[in-house]
Amino acid sequence: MSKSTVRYILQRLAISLVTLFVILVVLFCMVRFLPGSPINNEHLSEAQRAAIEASYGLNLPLPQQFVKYVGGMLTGDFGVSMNLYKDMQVSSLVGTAAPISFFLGLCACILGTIVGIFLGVVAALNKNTIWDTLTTVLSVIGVSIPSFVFAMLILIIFGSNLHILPTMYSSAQPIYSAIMPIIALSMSVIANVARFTRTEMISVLNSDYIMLAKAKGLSRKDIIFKHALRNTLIPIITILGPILVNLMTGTMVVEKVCSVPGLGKLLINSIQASDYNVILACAFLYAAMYILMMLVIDVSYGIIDPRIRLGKDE
Amino acid sequence: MTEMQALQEMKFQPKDFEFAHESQELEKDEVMPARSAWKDSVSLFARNKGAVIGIVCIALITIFAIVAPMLSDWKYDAIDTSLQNIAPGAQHWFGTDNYGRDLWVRLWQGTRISLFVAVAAIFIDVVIGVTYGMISGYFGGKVDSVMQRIQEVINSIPTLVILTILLMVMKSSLFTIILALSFTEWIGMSRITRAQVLKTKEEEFVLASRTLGAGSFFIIFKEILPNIYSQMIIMVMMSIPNAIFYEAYLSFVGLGLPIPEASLGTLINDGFNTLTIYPFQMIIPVVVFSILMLSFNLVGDGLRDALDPTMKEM
Repeated sequence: MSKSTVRYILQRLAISLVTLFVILVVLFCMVRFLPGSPINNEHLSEAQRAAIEASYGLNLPLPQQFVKYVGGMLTGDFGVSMNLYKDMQVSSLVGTAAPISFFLGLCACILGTIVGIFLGVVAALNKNTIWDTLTTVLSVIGVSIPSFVFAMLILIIFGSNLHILPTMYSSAQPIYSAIMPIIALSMSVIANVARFTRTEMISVLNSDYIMLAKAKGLSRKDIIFKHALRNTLIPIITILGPILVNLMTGTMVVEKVCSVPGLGKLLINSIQASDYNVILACAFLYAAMYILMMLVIDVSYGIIDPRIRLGKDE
Repeated sequence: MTEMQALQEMKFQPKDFEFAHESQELEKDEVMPARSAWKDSVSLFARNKGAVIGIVCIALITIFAIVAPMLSDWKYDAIDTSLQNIAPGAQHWFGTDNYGRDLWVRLWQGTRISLFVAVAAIFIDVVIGVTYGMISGYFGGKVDSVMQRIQEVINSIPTLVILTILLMVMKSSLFTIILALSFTEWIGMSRITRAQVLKTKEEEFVLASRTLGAGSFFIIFKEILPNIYSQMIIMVMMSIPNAIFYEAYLSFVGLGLPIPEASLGTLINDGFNTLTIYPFQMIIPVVVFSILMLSFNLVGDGLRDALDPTMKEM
């Protein structure tokens, strides 16, 4: 890595940290403006309510609450749930929910990329045949139809009609019940990757070095796997960014359809119960992951393809 | 060795020994008639089967959304508990829902609202995004770098988190949903605009205009804007399905339009709750929703190919 690359990474890290702080402030203020309060039991008297609010520190002025919250956060203490899961540590709530979402997203990403590359290569090698048309149709459908629709379709067909897959997520069978959400999520990945691989592969196959490889008399297998495929795969990294963002959106909705107890479901539930600390932690985690992903992808462009200059030249 | 083998294995065919220029035919040179860029684009677009099908579907759905609720005897919000959950039939073409509301009318009323939300949000996006991108790109320097930093910070908060929290704070209604959607979508528009402005402002015709004494205002609106129309149209077409999707997502999370209003999202959400008992209540809105998304994507692709073949797939 050159000097300018390191500088660029450091600069981006600094910007990311500032951004995260801004996001935290904004989230913190907005959450406090939510209609409704986490202490919403009707049987409580005014005095009891005030006492409970005081015990959570909700009676303090907003800046003081914020300082307290950030102070706790730096030591890994994200506060306790005030309503939804009475007095449970938010870190343990998020700690059980987040891995499930990560697992779903990661599997969908891997499965989708592999299937997508395969379809894209098949389509490019059989250009203008039925396979090509099928792949194109499939990828247009996959790109435009959101993953929750696929989840619902799978739910109806394989869940309630054929009884092959469970209709509800059960933590006793994490792999078996993850099949449905993973397939639903991977559809958009497959579509995007297949479409991109096809275009890339066709342009690679038309390039001069493939013609040279053919002229040297290399076998078709060698040309495809050693020369064409390798050069096709590199640019795929450039579309992983938008794909991962898509997946994050997807998990939130698909988790609801398949009743997966993941991060998205936790966020939605806590919003409906105005559970301040849980909302903050979930939303902040989403934002942090998003920023980290963007950073990693931007930096990896430059490392993989040295033609892309990161930052300014000295 | 391999060359020798390859040579031996090489089979000659009779046509290998034909003269290359033997079959020279007399050709008449024809001058292509001059055509305007718009006419060219229209004919390119019309040749794209998918795009034409897409635009026909959008037109049909829009007509139904406008006309169908007016022509039916039923009202979209008329509750009649004696007509609960009737299957599709001659009386109620798409059946009725849990409150005995006619789903044919509700579907088209919902489509109308969804389309309205999407178009209104995108309209605001274009106004904000284009203005922002124009100023940032045209004036450059310090203005540009400050505006870019602000945009970077806003852009690094995931759309879903902003949308969710905005709508929690401002009680969801038609107006707030449009506002929240336009708040997140304008960034893409401003980026494209800025990039195009940066490219266009260095062209000779802008220099010529400036030499003739044109002011910034004139140059922006009369010289640069007409040259970036096509990119804007493509962007708009690509953003509309996004807006429709996010509206559906919000309803799905429970932050959609308040009852008894209907949108495609709330219809899908309502149908989802009774999915296993009355699947038609969800399948019909999902089909319309999917066709709409697919059509906008197809038209967007077609427009991109027709208006700006050099634009990269996004």
